[in-house]
Amino acid sequence: MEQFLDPLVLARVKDMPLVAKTVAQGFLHGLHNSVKRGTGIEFSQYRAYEPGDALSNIDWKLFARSDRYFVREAERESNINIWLVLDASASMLQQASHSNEGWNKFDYARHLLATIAYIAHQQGDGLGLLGLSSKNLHFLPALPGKQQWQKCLLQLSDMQAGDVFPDSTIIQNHLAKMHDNAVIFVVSDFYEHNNEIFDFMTSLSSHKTEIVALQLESIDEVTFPYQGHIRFEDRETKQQILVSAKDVRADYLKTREAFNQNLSEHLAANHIQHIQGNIDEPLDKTLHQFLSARQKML
Amino acid sequence: MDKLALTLESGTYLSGLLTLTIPIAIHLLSKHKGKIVPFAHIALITVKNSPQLNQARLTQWLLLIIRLLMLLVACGILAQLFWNKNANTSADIVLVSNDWLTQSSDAEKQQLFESLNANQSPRLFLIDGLNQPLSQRKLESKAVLAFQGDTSSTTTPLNIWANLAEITKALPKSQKIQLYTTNRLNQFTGQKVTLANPIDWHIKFLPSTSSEPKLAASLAIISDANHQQQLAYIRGALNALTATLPVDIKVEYIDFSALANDLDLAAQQSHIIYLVDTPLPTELDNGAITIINSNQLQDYTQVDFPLILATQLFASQTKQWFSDNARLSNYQITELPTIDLLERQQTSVENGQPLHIWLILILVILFVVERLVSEWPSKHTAQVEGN
Repeated sequence: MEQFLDPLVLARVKDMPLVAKTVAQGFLHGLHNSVKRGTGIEFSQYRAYEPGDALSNIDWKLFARSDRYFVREAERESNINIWLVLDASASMLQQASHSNEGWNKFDYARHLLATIAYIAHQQGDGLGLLGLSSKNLHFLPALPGKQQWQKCLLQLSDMQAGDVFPDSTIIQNHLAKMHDNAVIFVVSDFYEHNNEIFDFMTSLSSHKTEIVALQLESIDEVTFPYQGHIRFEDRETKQQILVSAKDVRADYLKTREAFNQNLSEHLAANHIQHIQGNIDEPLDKTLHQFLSARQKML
Repeated sequence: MDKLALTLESGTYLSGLLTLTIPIAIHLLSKHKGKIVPFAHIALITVKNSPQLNQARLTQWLLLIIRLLMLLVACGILAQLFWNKNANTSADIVLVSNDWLTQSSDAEKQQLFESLNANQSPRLFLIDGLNQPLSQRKLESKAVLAFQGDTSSTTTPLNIWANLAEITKALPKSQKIQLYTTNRLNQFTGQKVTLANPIDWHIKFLPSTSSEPKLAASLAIISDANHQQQLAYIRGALNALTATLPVDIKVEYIDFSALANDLDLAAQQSHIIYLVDTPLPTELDNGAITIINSNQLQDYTQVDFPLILATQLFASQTKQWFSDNARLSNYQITELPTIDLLERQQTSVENGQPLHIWLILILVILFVVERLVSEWPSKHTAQVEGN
């Protein structure tokens, strides 16, 4: 895990499945999971009875033949759906000012989600996708299988960022399907104008779902390296303000800190894991952070 | 009356002032004001009215003003701005000729009087004053109504154009002149003159008289014995003239020996034909009488001698008649030779102090200041650290 993949290198690879596989395999490298056994339809093996095993699990027919207690085991089947939720508003097009060929937040998020999708597919989990923009709503119901993974990747590649985060009323009917034993990964910058993302997150959380929220940031937003007189233009509202960057920097950093604090508190109140990812850091590093946060919840 | 005023030599270059719109348009369109940086969420950025920003705005305004001034000065240089020392361009100068005053009706005088009063302090002068400075020819506007014209001098020594040239020498080139005159030929005999000032011609058209002139001459022929033959021819020629032409000739024959007695009689005549070898007595040679001596009538044996004699007798009269009664057309009066640019430049140098040197100096200084002001904030305009 020490040698991360350079985001710039990945950005040059236009093939999203390849990126997803490369990152995921790097992530899964060295992990040799033993076969998960439990209740299921598909038979896996017999093992000797140990005290504590449920009597209902004992294969009585085999006991009749061999006069020994054996417990029948099957391969565990996953019944978890992985939902990938991507904020596709215009503000997600933000990228570091010094790099023109690097990923913006939206590209970064797409590749990250593609990687998660690959891992989920490998694990046999069901996969669903929700792309959120008021211009275009992408919805893919959760299903397992390789085809679903490919559909998911296709949707991710087709998705265009633009406009603003949609009103919660538009998403409402899709949300009902997501409340069923699901792990939801939400990737967004959490910049909102009328509390729409907070409302969405609140309506998403229920006792049957676990939600991991990844807040993407660019280095420019974190350090505010601008100098001189700059006319900042909002990517979503197109509103412009003229400021002297040096003068507003301190206030900006303070406001930003308060914003992050507020976000953290709000998410915590809804039992949502909050992770911050920097798009100028390697994709697998963020992925590791992301997935380990999920493991912490379990 | 002597005032210092800025005067333009080449007004057409003032159209260069239109270029002033260029920096203004650039200023309005550019919004100056920093590079546009798209940002994800500007709600996080609090707008602050920083002194730096105000300074930048101030610099922009300063730059705009300097650039406008630069263009203005450049236009001034092209238009050849100069100080005029004796300019009073606000008021028109109204010149009126004696003949106009004589010939115009009361209504026309009243009209001139009213236009004088309506105008912002115009100055009225008589144009036909010879060798007098302009200030001595001044007329009060009221005097126009009473003035009947000075009829004593029928022919003016200088024509209207020459008079104008004389007057405008002392005036700035942009001084507008209103001129009231008639189209009688005797006011325009001689050369046309180039004039730089804009002139408003008010020409009164006199009706031309169609009647033939009645030629009359009273003649004294003074002769001695040596010129009897010539005298006989002259007598014959005079008889022929009176018989064929509508002329009225009175002839007194005086013998040179009796001249001393008839000196008064001779002095009353308009012409004297002097057929004597000794010089004319000084009493008669006073300029009022036209003297024709025997040398002028050498060709008395010629067939056309009567005509020659008639020319000698009546030439000045027909000329006088012609100059009094012939009329010029509007075009003939107002069309003056144009002046070339070089000449104008020379006259402007004579009349005023040119500002070229000062304007160029100001332009250079403005240029330097503009460079300094526009370069100064660029030290602080790096957009991003390390870039």
